[in-house]
Amino acid sequence: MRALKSTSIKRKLLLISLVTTGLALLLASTAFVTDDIRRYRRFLVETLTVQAQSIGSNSAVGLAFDNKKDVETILGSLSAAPNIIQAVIYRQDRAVFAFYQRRGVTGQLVRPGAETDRSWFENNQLFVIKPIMLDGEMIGSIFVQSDLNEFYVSMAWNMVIALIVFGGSMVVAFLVFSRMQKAISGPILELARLTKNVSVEKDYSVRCAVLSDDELGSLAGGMNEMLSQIQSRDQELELHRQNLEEQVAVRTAELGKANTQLQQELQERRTAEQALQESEKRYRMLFESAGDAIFIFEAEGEKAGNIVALNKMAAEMHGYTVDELMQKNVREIQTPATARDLPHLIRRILEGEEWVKSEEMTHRRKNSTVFFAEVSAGLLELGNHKYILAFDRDITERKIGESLLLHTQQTLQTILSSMPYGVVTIGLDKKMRSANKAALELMKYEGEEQIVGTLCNQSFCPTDEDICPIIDLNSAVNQTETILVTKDGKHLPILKTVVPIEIDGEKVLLEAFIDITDQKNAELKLQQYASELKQSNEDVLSFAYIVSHDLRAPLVSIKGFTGELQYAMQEIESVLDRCMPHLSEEERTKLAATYRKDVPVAMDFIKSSVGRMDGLISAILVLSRLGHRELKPEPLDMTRVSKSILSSLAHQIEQRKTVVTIGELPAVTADKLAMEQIMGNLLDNALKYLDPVREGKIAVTAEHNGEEIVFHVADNGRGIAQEDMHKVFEIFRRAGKQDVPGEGMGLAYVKTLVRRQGGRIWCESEPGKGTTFNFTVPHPAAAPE
Amino acid sequence: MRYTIMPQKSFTCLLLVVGFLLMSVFPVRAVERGASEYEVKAAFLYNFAKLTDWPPGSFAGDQAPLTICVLGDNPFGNAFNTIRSKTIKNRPAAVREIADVDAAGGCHVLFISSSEKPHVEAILGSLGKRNVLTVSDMKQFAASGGMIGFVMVDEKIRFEINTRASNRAGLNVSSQILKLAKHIIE
Repeated sequence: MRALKSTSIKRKLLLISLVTTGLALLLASTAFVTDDIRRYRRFLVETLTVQAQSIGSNSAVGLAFDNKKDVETILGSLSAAPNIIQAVIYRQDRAVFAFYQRRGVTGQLVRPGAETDRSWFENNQLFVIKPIMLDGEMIGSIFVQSDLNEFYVSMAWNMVIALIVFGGSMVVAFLVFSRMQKAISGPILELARLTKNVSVEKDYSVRCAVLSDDELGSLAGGMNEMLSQIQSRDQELELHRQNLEEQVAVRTAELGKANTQLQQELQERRTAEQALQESEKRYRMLFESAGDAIFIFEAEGEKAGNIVALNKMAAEMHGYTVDELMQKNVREIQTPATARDLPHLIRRILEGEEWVKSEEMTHRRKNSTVFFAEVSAGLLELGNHKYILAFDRDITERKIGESLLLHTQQTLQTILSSMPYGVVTIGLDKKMRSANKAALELMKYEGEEQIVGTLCNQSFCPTDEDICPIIDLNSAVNQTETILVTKDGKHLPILKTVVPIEIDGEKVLLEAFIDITDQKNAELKLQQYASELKQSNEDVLSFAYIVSHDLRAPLVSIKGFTGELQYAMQEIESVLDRCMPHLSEEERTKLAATYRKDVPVAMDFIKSSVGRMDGLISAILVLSRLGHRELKPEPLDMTRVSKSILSSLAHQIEQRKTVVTIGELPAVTADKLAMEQIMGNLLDNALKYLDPVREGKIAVTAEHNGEEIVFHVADNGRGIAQEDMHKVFEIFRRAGKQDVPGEGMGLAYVKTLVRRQGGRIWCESEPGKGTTFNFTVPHPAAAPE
Repeated sequence: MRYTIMPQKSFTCLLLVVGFLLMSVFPVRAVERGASEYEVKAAFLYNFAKLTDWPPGSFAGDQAPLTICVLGDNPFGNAFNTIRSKTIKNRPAAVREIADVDAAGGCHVLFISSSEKPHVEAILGSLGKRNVLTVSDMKQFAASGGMIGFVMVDEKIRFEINTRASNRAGLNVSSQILKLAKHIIE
């Protein structure tokens, strides 16, 4: 290669072209020869296959009819092809049927494998095996072996031709190239000569001739251009040298000015630094004296969480000194739960949430006690370093307060939800705000959310939509009966109390109510009973009237005829007196016993019974009349009424030596007759049942008691036994010793009369000491007072 | 006693078994050595059918079988077994035995057994010009009006062909067969 470097360009060009041409020719001839060989081989295979097939089909019938001679004759025709070494025809069972061998060939037949249709080269020989077919059926196969002598001869000739073409081409190429290279090497040699001249003589005025229009021509042009540029540069350089000194003076002045400016800036910076120091001092004071704990810790990297600064409060809050905490990581003063969330918190801050405000966390003191801290934290960038600035506040006490409040709220909530009263709150916009469990149950709603926000008139006072008594009419509602409309539209009577209260700064109405459906029903039922009772009472009275009236007629007959009978008996007796002497002693005695004794006794008995019955009927009649009689209330002076009664009883009073005192009795509005009968009966009774062993005392008193006046008629008589107390007001009942005449009607009258006037009557008694009857008269006049 | 008898019985059994084995082995070997005469003839009949052209009307349809019939006593035994599963000119090959020439309807190749020698003229007469290739191994069969007659030459089976008879029946026997024929009667 070194030899190549030093040879002239002329030789190099020649060498390059010859090598290139030679290589191209070599490649081309190789390709041609290779292709020739391939084609020739294919031709050989095709030829031999056709030969084998032709022999095979000619031999087919001979093979079919087992005619070996015929087949051998056909095989014999192969002697015309000198390249075929041998040919064999096999039967279907692959036994040899007939074969041919080239003269001079001995040796074993090559037995093919199982293939019946194949051709291949092996040991410089070509083999073909083809099937023998008859009517589409394979009846055997033919195997042909051929040498390749002809092929090799042909190939040798091809090589010779290729070599001759190669050599001739190289000679021609050499001749053509030696002439053509002058067009390139001529101008280059001329240029080389010129450059040598310029470098040795330093003469930049020479120019070279441009001989052609190609790259070499432009090279010469470029060279000329370069030479003329160098000439003009030389002139400019001279001019510059003269200007230089002037320029240096100007620059020096500029530099002095810049220096002064720099000193000024330095002074300004110093002033700023001082201001900064003062500012830092202020902030440090603020930092140290702050009421909250302040931490600055690393935000990123392995040291994330390491405390780099803290104030006194921070140390005190956690029970450490400032120096102790300086070496720690914030995780060490947090509970595990809070420490676990720390990376998340830092990430939030780093990812753009500049300030995390009022996060509640749990921190740990040095003595391991835990407290609640409210933490606000943010990003603090100093230089390129990122820190977290955190403010902590101990909120344990606030937490306790909160939990207490929560507890109170929960208690209140429990009371509200468990109390049997429905409680709802309604805003001033008449919209429902809340409802407790009982309210929801009453209103048939499943959840509070179904009712909150609805108009209150949908549930309460449905007819008063624009005249809400509290909001619109500004009146109070306390224990008022109203109507509740349930979700399914039913109307329930309720008793409601409304209190305006303030919840969370909003004025609302707190409404508490109970369902009074049961009470209402009971009231209704009571009214029904009362009217029924009145009806039946009237029925009884009219019945009693009719009965007593109708019973009286036969009684009058019995009474009349009894008198008649008595009169008749007197007649009979006068007759009997006359007859008596004529009768025997025995008859006289018998008659006397019957007539003078038995009959009068029976008559007396009938008479007294009838008399009693008459009394009873009269009493019933009176009672029923009492029930029917229309009362005419009028103002009465009871003292006067009582005294007039006493005067009618004067005889009895005197007889029994009784002291009757009548106190100051108030005026009443009542039926006069009824009051006379009440007072008369009670006084009569008191006189009747006085104890004969002591002096009788009877006192009548009265007093106001609310809307009624209570009268007392007290005696010191024999009294009523406890077991008889319940019977005293019953009709036809008489208690105690039956030594006083009467039908047992008196107190029944009294009771009826008192009740008809809207009063009550009762009695208190102690046997042997006395009895007090009490009754009331309504005194509506008291109401206006 | 029992113990002395038992070996004797066993020995007899062994001899019998060996005997049977030998008997069953030899026929197999005979077949292997070379095909029997009628196996060759059966193959020839099959090949004749392959190399003969029948006029188009001789078959019932495109898929109708080509039938080889044997008239009279059948000397072929099982020789046709391999042929039954093959095809001739794209038609299934069929083999039938018939007792009377009247039953030869549908036959394309008719082998007339030697047993029919006394009636051969009557048989050929009744076939007349029907498209049936007649073959037999009777002597002088081709000369006496049959189409192909088997003959033995140097212990090999050859055949004679009467092309006049076959032409008369409308059959075209391949020239390749004629080339192999020992004798051609025209």
